[in-house]
Amino acid sequence: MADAALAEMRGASANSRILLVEDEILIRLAMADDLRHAGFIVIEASNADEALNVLNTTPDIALVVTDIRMPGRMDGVGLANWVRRHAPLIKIAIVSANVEIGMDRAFDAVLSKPVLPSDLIARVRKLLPPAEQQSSDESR
Amino acid sequence: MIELETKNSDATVLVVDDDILVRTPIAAYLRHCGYRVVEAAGSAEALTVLRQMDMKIDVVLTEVELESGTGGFAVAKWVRENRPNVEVVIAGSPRRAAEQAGELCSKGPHLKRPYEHALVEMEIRNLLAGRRKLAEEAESSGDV
Repeated sequence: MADAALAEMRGASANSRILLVEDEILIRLAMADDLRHAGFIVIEASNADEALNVLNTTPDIALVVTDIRMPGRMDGVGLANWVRRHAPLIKIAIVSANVEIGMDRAFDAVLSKPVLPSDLIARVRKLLPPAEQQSSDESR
Repeated sequence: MIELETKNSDATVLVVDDDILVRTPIAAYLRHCGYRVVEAAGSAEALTVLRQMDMKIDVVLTEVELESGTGGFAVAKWVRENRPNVEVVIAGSPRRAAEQAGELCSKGPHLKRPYEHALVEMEIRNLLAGRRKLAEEAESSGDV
C-alpha cells in the first residue's frame, strides 16, 4: 500500500514526517522500512548536506533522526545544532554507537546502535504521538 | 505491444540518484504506485544493495551522471554481469550520455531528467510486464 494511504489509515498526519539521516545504506534502509511499516512518512538522506537540502525546501518535517558519525562537512551533532538554531520546532533523535552521558539532555531522544526496530518505533511514537492523542495531551 | 500490468506491489525498484530533491519525489511517487522502493544516493550505495543477492530487486532506475560521471554506467554494467534478471532504466540529462546508456539496458530505455514521474512508472511497468511475459513463455515452452 502507498505510504500516504497507509499513514492516513493509521492516523498519521503532518506530524508524522520524519527525516532519516544515515550514511550506511543497509542500516538506513532497515530503519526506513521499520518506520514506514509503522505508518510514518520517511525522507531518506545519506548525509548532512542532503538533510540540509531537504530541511531548506520541505515543510512539515516533524522529526530528524540522525546518525552522529557521518562523512562530509557536517556530522550528526552539527546537523542537530543547525536544526536547533533554524527550525527549533523540529524534534531531534540522535543515533550513536557510543552514547555519551548528557546526550539525552541535549536531544529529544538518544538511540543506541544497533537500533532495535521495536525500540525505534516506540521512541518515535513517543516523540510523534498521533494528532488525536497530541491534542488531548495539550488540553490537559 | 506489451500489455500493461496493473499489480505492482510485489516489485522492488532501486532508485539511484545523488540529488535528494530528485530522488525523494520519484521514490515517493513509485511507492504511491504500489512498488517497494529502495533509495541509493550514489553508485557505491547502489552496489552495496545489489551485492546483497538475497535482497529482491526487480528494476534499477539510475541516473547516468553519478559522482564521477560514470557511476550510472558502472551500476548498469555490474547489473548486466551479475544480476542479469534485473531490469535497468537509465536516466540522464545529456542526450549523448543517455543514448550510450541505452546500450546497457535490456530494451534500451533511457529517460530524461528531470523525471516525468508517470512516464518513469509506465516504463517500469512495461519492463516488468515484458519480463513476466518472457517467463511465462519460457515456462509454457518447457511444459511442451
